[in-house]
Amino acid sequence: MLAIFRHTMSRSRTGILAWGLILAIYAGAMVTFYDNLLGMSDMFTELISHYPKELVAFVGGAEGITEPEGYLDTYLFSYMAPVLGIYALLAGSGLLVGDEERGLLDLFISHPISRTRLFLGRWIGFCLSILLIVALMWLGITITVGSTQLGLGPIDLLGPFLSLFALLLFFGALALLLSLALPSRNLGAAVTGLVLGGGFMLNVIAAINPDLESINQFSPFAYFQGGKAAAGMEWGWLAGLIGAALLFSLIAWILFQRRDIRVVGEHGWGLPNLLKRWNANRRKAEAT
Amino acid sequence: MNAKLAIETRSLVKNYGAVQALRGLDLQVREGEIYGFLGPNGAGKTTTIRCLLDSIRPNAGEIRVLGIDPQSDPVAVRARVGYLPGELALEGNMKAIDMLQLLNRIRGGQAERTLIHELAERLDLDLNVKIKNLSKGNKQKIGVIQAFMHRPELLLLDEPTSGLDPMMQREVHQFLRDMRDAGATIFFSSHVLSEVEVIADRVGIIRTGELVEVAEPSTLVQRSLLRVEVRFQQPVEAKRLEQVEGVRTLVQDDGTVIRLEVEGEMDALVKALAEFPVSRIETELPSLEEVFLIYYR
Repeated sequence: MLAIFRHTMSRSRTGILAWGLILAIYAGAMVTFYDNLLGMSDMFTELISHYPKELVAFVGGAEGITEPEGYLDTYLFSYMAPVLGIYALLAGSGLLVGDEERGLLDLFISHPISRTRLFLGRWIGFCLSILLIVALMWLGITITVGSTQLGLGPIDLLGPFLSLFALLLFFGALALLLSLALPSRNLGAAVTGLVLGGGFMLNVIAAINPDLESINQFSPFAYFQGGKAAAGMEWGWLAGLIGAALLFSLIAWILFQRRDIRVVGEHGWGLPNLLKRWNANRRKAEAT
Repeated sequence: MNAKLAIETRSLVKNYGAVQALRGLDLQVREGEIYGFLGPNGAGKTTTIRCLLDSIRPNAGEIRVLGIDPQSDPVAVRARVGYLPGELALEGNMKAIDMLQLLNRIRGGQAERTLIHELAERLDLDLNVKIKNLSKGNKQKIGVIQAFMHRPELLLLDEPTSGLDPMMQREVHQFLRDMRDAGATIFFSSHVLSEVEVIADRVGIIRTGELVEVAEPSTLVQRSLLRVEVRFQQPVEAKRLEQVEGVRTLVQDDGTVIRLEVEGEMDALVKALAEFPVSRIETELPSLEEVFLIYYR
């Protein structure tokens, strides 16, 4: 298991460093603008009040933008979640099925390692890679936050990043499960992408349309606190996201145990290609 | 199930949806032999090997590999087996040595470092080159090394010499003989019949998921078609020879030279020829390839 874990980490290294460092620098720099915003808070509040409410909802509501939690939410967490969600779903969907489609899994599984250990080695590596990216971002902020009037310490900042980690884990685990349940990695990633994009949009629209609140409870973003977690954690939401991620991972593990490992070029069960079928029928009709 | 068998399958069935890949395959590979598994693409060779490793699960039937059921204890089976996939995939960004070390770590460090380097030297492979910069043949060499490096008791090789040049093919054949001489069992699939003919102790022919023949290559060749050229002192009527059981006329020139194919024993033909003024008879054994094609007519 350790060998698989190390291999997972070794090949995620570039991704972790690229995503983690860029976002750490961005997050660290973004915090330093808070003091400027504070100096223009009245003007800023006035400006935002003239924005369309849809636009304001899109950046996390911008409520209390001059408050530290609101500022973090609007300028970092509101859109960082879907952006990093893409990394999580690509990593999750490629964790096992990516290797399978490349033919690597066929080689690995022929070695004396159980499927459970192979799964765990990959899964723990995936969790750690997400944790490291989030930790680098947290580190980026904590380096600069002391020189601002944000008034949040490293411990206060753990909440929002924990919330982000849970959301990313949710999407990564969902992508892992769907990649194993659907015919290909791409389809698993695409469906997870739809849940990610759709969930994000639903959460945005539900903020301005209370009628959608009941549907929004099915969006993972409804349980993502973002910057607001700095003011106090919703532990139930956090546990819910992590619990769902663990449940998806458990089902993925069961599917992996029962799976026939494919070789290069071998596809899973195919979805009916309606267009191809329609074209074939059309050609047949034309011929007769 | 027989303890002296390295591989044994009984009534093995594997379906891919509506496609029946294996239809009650009964296979017996003895310990210490080189067993060539012959069949065209889609006959079920790779499916069989992957069932033996528990990469895929059969729908019915029993399997024993080195006396172990791979479905109950796949790790124990794989610890004692070396496997070379038919479509080898490797991490392109890794150096050959790093890939081999990774596979060895997954194996729990079963392989000796010195053996890895010794095998690489024999195969003339530079281990410090990134895999993505290697040719197909050189990548195949990595596959060969990883299958051999832990001195397995059983080698499952799916088209082992695919992509290798003739020199390296000979080297791999020598590896196989060395391993066999050291007590290992080798089960390899191939559609290169000359290769099977050269190195296999026994050959199994698989057709649409069923084993249709098992024999030593020489026996297989001898018991099959024999090509006969008969030269007569004067033109003869070949039709009378065609009436002999198991004889088929291939070519008749001007009536003084007739080429025939004889299936089974020569006795009936020799007796039939006694009526003619024969000046010369030449016989030729078919290649294994021709024998193989008989099963696929």
